[in-house]
Amino acid sequence: MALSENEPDPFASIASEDGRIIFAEILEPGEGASAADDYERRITPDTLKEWYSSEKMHRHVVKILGWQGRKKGYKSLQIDPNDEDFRAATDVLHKRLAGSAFAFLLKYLGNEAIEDVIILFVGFGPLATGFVKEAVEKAEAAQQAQEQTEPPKPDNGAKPDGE
Amino acid sequence: MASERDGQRFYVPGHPGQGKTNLLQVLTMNMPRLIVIDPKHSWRMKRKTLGLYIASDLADFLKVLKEAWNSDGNFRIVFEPEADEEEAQGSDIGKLFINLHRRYLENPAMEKTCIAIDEAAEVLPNPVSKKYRGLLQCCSMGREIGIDVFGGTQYPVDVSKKFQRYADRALILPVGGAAADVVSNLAAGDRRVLDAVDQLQPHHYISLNRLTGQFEQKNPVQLIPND
Repeated sequence: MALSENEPDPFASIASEDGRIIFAEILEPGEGASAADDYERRITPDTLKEWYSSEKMHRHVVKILGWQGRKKGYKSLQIDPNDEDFRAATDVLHKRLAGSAFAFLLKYLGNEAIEDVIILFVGFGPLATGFVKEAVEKAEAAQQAQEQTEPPKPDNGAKPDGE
Repeated sequence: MASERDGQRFYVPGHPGQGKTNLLQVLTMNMPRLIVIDPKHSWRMKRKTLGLYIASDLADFLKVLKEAWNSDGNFRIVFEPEADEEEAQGSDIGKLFINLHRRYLENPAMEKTCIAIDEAAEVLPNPVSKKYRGLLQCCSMGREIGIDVFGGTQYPVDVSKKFQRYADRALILPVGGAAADVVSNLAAGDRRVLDAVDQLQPHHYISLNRLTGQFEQKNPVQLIPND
């Protein structure tokens, strides 16, 4: 049986040139033939999109946010799976991730990585927000206390010794 | 969990004249899908007996492989790399088969491919250049993508340490001298294995399962005559 039956010809983008095999499909626009030398370069945005589709990411994000929302009592995290705006936003995020170095990290970490990232954001988000809010409040309180203990500043042009 | 469809890695060290090439030929003689990387051109003398096609350049190799792949899917091809290009061309073949086998797990009809390297010190030297890691990738991914890799050598100390680590089985023919350290590493220092290797008669070999530590002494395999 032909191994490539019902599948695209796996040799279509492979050729030999100057005693080397050239893997045309893995070359990014603008890259030279030497790009094929490194196996890791096969992991292209297309590979990543195939491995972790936009639909899959949307499902995961909605599911995890909903779960975290129910657990922590955040109604705002209950996303309607049919919300087109949120879907579009997820698509944009997916495209950005697939083209970034972060995508390579996700690829190596596995399927659960994106869920972990969301859980971390949801878990650490309120903590970070609370900390920043508390720090700002403390700084403001300290400034107010300092202003109350300091003598009033002289008006412009007036001399403190009354000269 | 290991299955018969998993790719395996065999390391076959032995001194010159101990029968490494013959052992590799016997082990692979019934494999329907075989690629041999043969820098020494030592397989061409048995090409008829073993049903091999000899390819001396990559263009010819690709042409024959493509035809076979698109017909019955079986091929037994010996590739003789150019001098000083063994590592680069071997790496290309590794990358090629990673590509060809990437749907292996999804396609139960796809059979394993065996890549036999008959002088691993030339094709997988120590260390392997970062640019030429195709065959090492085959070794690290081979279990999941159904690629067996056999590496035979008469210069065990000059073979990639990574390849030696990847090998889950070692078939050790009589060796000695500097190769003693290599054998010790393969056997994880097991004194019984080292003693068994020291006492090997010519052409006998030790079959060592590095995952379980089990080993046994084997008699010489049948000698395959030249055409």
